[in-house]
Amino acid sequence: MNKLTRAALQFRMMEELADGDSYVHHLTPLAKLLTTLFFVVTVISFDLYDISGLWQFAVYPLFFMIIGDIPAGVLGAVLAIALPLTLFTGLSNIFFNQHIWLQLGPLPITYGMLSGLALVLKCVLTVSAVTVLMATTKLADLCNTLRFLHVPNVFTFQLLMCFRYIRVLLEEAEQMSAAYRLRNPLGRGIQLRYFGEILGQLLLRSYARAGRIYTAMQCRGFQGAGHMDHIVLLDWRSLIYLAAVGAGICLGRFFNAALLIEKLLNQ
Amino acid sequence: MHMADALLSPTVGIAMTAVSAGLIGYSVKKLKQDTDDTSIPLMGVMGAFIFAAQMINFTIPATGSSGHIGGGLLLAAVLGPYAAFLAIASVLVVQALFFADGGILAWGCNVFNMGFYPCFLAYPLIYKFFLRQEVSRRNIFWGSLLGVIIALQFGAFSVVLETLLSGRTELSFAAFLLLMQPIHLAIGAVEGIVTASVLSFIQQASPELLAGELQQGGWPLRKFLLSMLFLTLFTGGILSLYASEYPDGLEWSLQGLTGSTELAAEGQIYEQTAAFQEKTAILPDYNFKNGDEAQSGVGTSVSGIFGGTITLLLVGLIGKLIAVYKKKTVKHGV
Repeated sequence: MNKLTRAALQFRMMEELADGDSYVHHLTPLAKLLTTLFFVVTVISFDLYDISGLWQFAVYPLFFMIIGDIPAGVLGAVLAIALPLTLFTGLSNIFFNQHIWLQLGPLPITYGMLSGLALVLKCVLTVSAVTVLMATTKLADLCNTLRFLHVPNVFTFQLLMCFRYIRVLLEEAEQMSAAYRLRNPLGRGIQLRYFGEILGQLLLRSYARAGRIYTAMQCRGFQGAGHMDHIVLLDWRSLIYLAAVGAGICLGRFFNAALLIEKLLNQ
Repeated sequence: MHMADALLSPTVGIAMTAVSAGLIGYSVKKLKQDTDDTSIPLMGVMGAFIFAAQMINFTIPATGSSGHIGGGLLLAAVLGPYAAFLAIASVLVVQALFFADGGILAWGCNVFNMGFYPCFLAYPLIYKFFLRQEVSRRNIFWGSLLGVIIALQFGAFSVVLETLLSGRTELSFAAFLLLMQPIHLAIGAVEGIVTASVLSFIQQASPELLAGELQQGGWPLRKFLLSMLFLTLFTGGILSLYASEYPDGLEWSLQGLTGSTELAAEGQIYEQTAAFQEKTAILPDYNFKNGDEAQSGVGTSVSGIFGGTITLLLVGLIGKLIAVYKKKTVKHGV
């Protein structure tokens, strides 16, 4: 499967998941967005070498993945894209800081290992939180919320247009790419000398499509991006969710469960 | 070049998000002034085009590897800088939310690194400057190549700065810079050629697409020079603080051969010229005369700004002399 088909499938999968009917799906987009942002900021605020405090944050994505009926494979697919660069940076930390933190028999645990592992953990946690958000929230609802928060209409409207037409253009690009592959089955990608022509054709087709879309929108009474559907920003259920999750994240930031358990065991 | 949340501290992430949000607000304001609603579907669909285009790989000759286009300058050439910036910001939102390609808090950094430089630096200062007189294949080629390379160099440098300011990696500034800049120079060169070939195709197939945007407010020479002056001051004043204290390539070679970074020259004439240079040099060894340790940072900055400005003035003077000479030779029919 090539990149274009994989991307189109990923979009379809996320859209289908966002159409679900769980408790998390019924929370308002604003509540979910705020908790996700708070979670991400809290996770990345941890120190370079602080691993023990990070583990407990896995509860948040795990809990909502179970409640929201999100298959683990979805997270795996997203992590496959996000992890490589962080993994590379994490590995480089091992080489650049070889000061020993702990000697476990013959195996030295270095500060570089700690900071590398912390980076990877942070990446997994933040990516999981965003995946939970997008697998339980439609982008259209999220954009509507953003408009009520005074994000310019022009931006949210064209973001929605962009999202809607990505799948269409992915199909078009896949057709062009497949036609090239059939003529050159041994090539790894499109040769540089033909690339300009192929991409240029795709650009011109996209441009022409945009013109047709605008005409169709005008025929249906489009009068600028000013119209807003009425939405509920926060209902009582979302308020409870916001308070509970917010308190949980704060607790996780200020109390280290691993250290507390260790203390209790020692006593 | 997409940065993940894990590489950032909350302060840097939030600060850069605020900067990018400000730029989005400014772009929306400028778009509302200049265009009508037609541009909204155009921005959306062209953003989708960039997303799809990034999924198509081209082979990089003689390496056996493949790459894809970034598309910032390409979009700016077709839509103009403001609409292109908004389209890139949207693509980055979709990539961050659905593919975790760049984090949600790192979105501000990514928009700045991949949107600001091609749209507000490379496009008006380089691409438009090359195409100010004629939209030809040659001008498109050089404008695209240099534009993409410079945008990517600045973008990669920003990634290094943002990561180091966040303090989330053990890499030193120099090591990270050495990892990032050369690889992005190579990527920029290939992407520049690809961008040029796409724009050349459009210029042949549908020239009004490129001409329309270029007609909207040219980029006069005075603005270009002022921007260059700003860049010179920035490079000289801030980046020079990070200048390496280690010997440069030539000094390093000399040190290997002679044990010193400077060649000792004996003789009266050498001593006299050295004494003359010592007296006339305004900022010897990039520092104040008799400067102490505490002053060295300020001295380096002042040297950077002073040296950069003098160089710029000299280059301007030489350019002016050449222009006057050319005018004279044309007048006399030589």
